[in-house]
Amino acid sequence: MTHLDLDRLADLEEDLLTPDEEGAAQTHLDECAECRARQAQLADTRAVLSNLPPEPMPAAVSARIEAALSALPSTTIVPLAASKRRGWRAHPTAAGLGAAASVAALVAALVVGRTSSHDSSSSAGGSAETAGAAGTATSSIPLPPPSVTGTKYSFHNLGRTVPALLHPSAALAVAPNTGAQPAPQASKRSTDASASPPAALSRLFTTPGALEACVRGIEGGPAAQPLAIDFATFQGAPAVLVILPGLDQGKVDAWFVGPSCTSTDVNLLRYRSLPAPASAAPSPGG
Amino acid sequence: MPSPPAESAEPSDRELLERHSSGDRDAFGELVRRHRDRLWRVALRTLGDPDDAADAVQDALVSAFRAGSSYRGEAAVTTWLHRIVVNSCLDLARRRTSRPTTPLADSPALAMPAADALGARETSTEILAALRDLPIEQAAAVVLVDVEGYPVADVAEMLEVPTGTVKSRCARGRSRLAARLQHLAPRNPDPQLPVQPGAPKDEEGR
Repeated sequence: MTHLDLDRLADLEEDLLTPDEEGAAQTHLDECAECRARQAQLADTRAVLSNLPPEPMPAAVSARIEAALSALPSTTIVPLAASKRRGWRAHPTAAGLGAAASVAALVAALVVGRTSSHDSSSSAGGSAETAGAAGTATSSIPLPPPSVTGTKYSFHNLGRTVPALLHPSAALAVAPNTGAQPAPQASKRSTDASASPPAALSRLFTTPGALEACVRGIEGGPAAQPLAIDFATFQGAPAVLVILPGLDQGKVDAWFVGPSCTSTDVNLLRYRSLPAPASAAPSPGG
Repeated sequence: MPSPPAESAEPSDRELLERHSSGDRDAFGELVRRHRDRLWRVALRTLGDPDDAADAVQDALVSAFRAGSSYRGEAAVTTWLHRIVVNSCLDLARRRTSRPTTPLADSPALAMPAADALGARETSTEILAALRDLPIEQAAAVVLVDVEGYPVADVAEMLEVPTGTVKSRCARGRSRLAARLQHLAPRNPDPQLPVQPGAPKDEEGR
């Protein structure tokens, strides 16, 4: 019989050979010192592996991770400190960003489509629109045109209302048999002259740069382009919803912030990671 | 009458995760402090690069932090954490073009001094380099089973593959490492001499 190479011996050790092969290998090993030496070589390798020295996490790494984790929002209201600006968004996974970028392109098309009628219908007297456009033009983060759906977001309807904002047609099917506030109609009507945000949010809506500063504060680091921004309410309180590409593939991050949101204190009301609406992929028809 | 468990008793991993899900800011940090060293070792030795390992562990713990409320108790918390860390390592390694994605041809053993001339630090560095040259799936399996000593069944859960796959990845990985690292363990430098297969560990008497 031919000699047993390391692959064969490693398979033997893990019971990966057929009974016939195993029998033949054992018979050969009984007779062949060379192959027994090779077998010992495998065992020695395992011994070396199991005796590696302890390797505590370096202090710099654990400090960095603690900082990243403490910058994450919890269910409580936690302002992001300025010192944590270079937080967890500094290390997004590239795969997640790639996927998010393609979603972002589609969503951007949707948002633009939705707001183009907005511009034409309210061009007569919309000082708010002008301010919003100016904010977009001067910002280094390209903000999507904010919508004013007035949706009553709550803890319980996030899973439906947030995807609805990103992909209105997906939610139309869901809306009728739910009791809660449907977002899609609102988003189509968001352009009515009457649809101005709650007074508490007017600073963010009208002051050039204010919304961008707020988004910057949320991101706390290198900026990703928001997928959508909506002026609405959360749990009954005036709130701006900023939807960002998720760190994980196929996810979006929904941030609800209050009226005092700035780059250093975002007035966070609620953060939640949600699955990106799957229906956003095939057709930008909405 | 028996007293209830003291409030100060160490909470279990699972309790910490429950507290985290209900908004306790400190619970997750405690969980991280408990497990960070072993998660670090796994990432460092699987990826073979401290910077990559730091990125992978951080990404993983951020994911775990945010997914904490989705933990359903289907696996031990340590298994769940390892799964997230290993996935993060695999994701990162697959984006690195330098890492081999196909099995290496026979790598010649490196021209290195014999093991007795090497300190533990050098040995460790050499093994790290050898692991790094394995396909990432094999490196992860070998690190979890041989370095960390987790049972194959647990590693199958961590890697989300069948146990047979764990075994074959370990076998392939060990075979390559043995070819490359033979100078590190020259217990029997002359292959012509017969050796007793009764090796140091528990395997030979199967």
